[in-house]
Amino acid sequence: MLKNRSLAFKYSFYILLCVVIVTTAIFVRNHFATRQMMLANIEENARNLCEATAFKIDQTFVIAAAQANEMGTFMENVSPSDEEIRKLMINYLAQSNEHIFGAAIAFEPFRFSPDRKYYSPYVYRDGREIKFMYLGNDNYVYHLMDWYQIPKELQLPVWSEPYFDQGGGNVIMTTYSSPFYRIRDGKKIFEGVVTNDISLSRLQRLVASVKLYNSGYGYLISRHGRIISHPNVSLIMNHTIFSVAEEFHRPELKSLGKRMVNGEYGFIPYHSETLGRNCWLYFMPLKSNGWSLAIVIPEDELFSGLYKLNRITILISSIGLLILLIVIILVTYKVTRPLKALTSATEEIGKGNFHQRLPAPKGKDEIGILSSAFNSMQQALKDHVETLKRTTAEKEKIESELKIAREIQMSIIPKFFPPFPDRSEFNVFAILESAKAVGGDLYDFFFLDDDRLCFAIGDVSGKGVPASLFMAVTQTLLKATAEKTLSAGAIVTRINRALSKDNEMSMFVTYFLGIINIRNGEMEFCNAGHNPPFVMRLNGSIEKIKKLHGPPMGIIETGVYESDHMLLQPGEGIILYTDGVTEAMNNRNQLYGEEKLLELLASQHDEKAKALVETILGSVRVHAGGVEQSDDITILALRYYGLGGSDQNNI
Amino acid sequence: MKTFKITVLIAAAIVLVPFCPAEITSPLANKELKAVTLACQWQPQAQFAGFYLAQEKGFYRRCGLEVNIIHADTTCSNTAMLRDNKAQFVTMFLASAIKFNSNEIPIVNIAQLFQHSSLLIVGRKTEIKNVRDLNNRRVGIWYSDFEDIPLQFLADNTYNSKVLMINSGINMFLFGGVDALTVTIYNEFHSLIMAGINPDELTVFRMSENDLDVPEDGIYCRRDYFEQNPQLCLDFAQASLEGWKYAAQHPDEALDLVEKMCKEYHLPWAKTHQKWMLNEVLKLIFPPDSELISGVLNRGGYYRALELLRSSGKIRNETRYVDFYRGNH
Repeated sequence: MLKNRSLAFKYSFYILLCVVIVTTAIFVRNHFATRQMMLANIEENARNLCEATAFKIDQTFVIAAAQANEMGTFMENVSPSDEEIRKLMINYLAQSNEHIFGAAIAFEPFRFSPDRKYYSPYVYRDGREIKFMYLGNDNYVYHLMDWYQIPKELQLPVWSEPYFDQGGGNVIMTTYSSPFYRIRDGKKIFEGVVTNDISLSRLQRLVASVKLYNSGYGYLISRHGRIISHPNVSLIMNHTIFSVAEEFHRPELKSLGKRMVNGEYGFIPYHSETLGRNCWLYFMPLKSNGWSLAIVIPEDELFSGLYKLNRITILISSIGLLILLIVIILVTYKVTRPLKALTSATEEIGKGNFHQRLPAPKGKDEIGILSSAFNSMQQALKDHVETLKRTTAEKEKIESELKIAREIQMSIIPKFFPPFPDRSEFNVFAILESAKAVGGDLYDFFFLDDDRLCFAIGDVSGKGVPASLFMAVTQTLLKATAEKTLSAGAIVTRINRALSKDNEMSMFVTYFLGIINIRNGEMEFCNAGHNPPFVMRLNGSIEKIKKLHGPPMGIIETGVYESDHMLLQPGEGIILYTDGVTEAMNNRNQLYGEEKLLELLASQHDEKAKALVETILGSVRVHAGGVEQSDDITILALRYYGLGGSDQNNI
Repeated sequence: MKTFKITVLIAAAIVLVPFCPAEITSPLANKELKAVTLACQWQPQAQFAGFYLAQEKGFYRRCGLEVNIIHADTTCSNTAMLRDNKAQFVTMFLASAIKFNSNEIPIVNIAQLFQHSSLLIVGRKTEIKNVRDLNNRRVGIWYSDFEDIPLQFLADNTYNSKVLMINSGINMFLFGGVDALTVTIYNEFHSLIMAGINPDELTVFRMSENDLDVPEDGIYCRRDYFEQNPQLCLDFAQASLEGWKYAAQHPDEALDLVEKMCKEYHLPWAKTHQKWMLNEVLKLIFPPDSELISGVLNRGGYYRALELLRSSGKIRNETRYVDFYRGNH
């Protein structure tokens, strides 16, 4: 993706990516750590607030309960008259706190007096007045009312579920009912209940005043989930937390409600329909009556400080990143500008324009060094190309000279075949393949007189021009030295002497010289350190002429070379070769070898000179298999047919 | 599926129970409306939605009636209103009506609304798993209208339950004052759910499934009043039924009216509760079984109630079905 983008882009991209990743990681970690810390802090705050509020509410209930219990104890121990009870109760309410709305002492049927089925004196507030009445008649059988029956059955004081006051007003009340007993015939007998009616208005206001942050609020539910105080007034008394769950399809409220009515404590995430926001909720039970108080804190307000901090952090980070981006772009531009100039200059140089000016190196940074290096390189290239031009010109000159030298060299060896078209007693064929333009191998044949054919093969040490010159000298010396009267050994001795004289280069040449009388097949020969030639006999055998008459020529000036004689029968032949044949190598570094040559010769028994030479050369080529020729290859074949001559062409 | 069944039955009911004939209503439209009072047996709630709709939609006025709807409460019962002529029409439990007819003033049923018993006895599953578990337990039963059938159930199925008479409500049960409680499927059963008790936490005994399927709410008037104003009474009954049919077809409209009434009476309003109630009440009025005809008191149900009350010695004399039920057949 970034492969083809500029360096500046890649730089900016990777650096910014790293910075963004690191910044984001720090940001996220910070955010959650701070959030967790704040939550713990808020939970603490909410708990404190909730506990303080619950404490105030509980206090109201505890005092009211204590007062009722006191009255119950009084009724257990004293049996006051109706009139006394009336006075006591009016007095009681007058001295009580305002939120105690009313109080009753309700007796079991016929227990206060045998003629009264219903006896339940009741004092209550009517505005600023305190009124007194008797509860109970056949239409209001208080013995069957919850406030009477529940404490009676449970034998425990009970705070009733909240209810609207009988006056049809909007005052929500709860009643504390405490059973009282008397000992009759040694038995504890249930006598009735004393009640305190509490107006919940003050407690509602208390809960409504609960505030945490801007719009946090509190709510209060009864022991069975009835909503008593809530900022959404339409829920109060109409709903329980469970019916809200059902009506507004919020099943999570059901489990919350269960926890609340079970008297649990908790701090949980919560969605407030009232605020239409995600909030946190702390809830705890009231100790006095098992009601549950909850405090709702909007999450956005809770974390507003954090969010603000986040916004600032993001802003600063963004600006930082922007500055970083600009700096990176500027720096990379500054860095890459000379590079670009260098690039275009280099391209020009690449096209061959060596005089293109490179931008001057500035400073000693990597780019400056690179620029200097390019400058040096350009100079070196320029010089090199100049040198190359010169040497190429020289080389071309040498090559053309070498070409001429080769032509000259070739001109001093016989190369027109058949050389003696009118002679049928023998045929001769030779080939010289130089490894380089000019070579150090040589061969020659010529008639010394009418009957005697002189032939020679040689291999100069070394290669190239020196060897070729030495070869030319050798070849010329042969021509100059060969005389009718001289034996092969004498000729070789003379040539050797001439070559050895002032041979400062210490070059030498292996040499085989043969003189054959084509009338009778008598052959005189001298071998100066050359590869032994092969004689192909009539019976099909190949004979190796092992005899050596001395070291190669050019080494020992005073050396004297003898000659030997042998006879060739008509139909027999002699094969001369240089070591370029037997030492030809293939790609497995295997030499062609003498044995292979012998085998080949054995199979070519009847071939004429030209075919023989070409077969051997072909076999050597096949063996080399394309490996470059490292040495000159020279082969000379002479086939003797005698005076009868050959039936065919005399090659 | 349930809704579909109810709709079908309502359609059937519309065909079976013809509405006030046009020739009767049109002359009356010019006359003065006759003022009558209906006393519902309890505070405003969806249990009476059909009446509110009959009034609101002008079904009563079309029959020449100006109906004033009042409600009984703990201090003033519907029977007292009938006795004192404060109301011409009342809604009443069949069992209560038979007792009242036998023991106090002769009354007639002019339309039967609830075709089945809505009463259940419920207990917490942790304590009450089957009917035998009611032995030696405190069972709360509301006195007046609701006691006969549950008491019979206890007599039939248990030997040693402690019965506690309760004025009303579910607090005795919630606070643990009783171990089991009679409730109606349409009201208190849902109140228990609203108090955080899941239906699956309760063991439920349905009176309707225990050979005690006695019809409940019906419309009653004094026999003498009926004899003097038979057509008026039947018109009133039919217009009321029309209101109920309308309620079944337009439950949201019905609930809006109930809300209005609840607020007028400063009663708690939770739509979810009244919706439940309306749904259950409609199932009782338009029961999804074909044998019973909406609006008509089932003869078998009547005699079953009579037998129960006679055997428990609650009534002194018996009225024949034809004399007791004077509504349309």
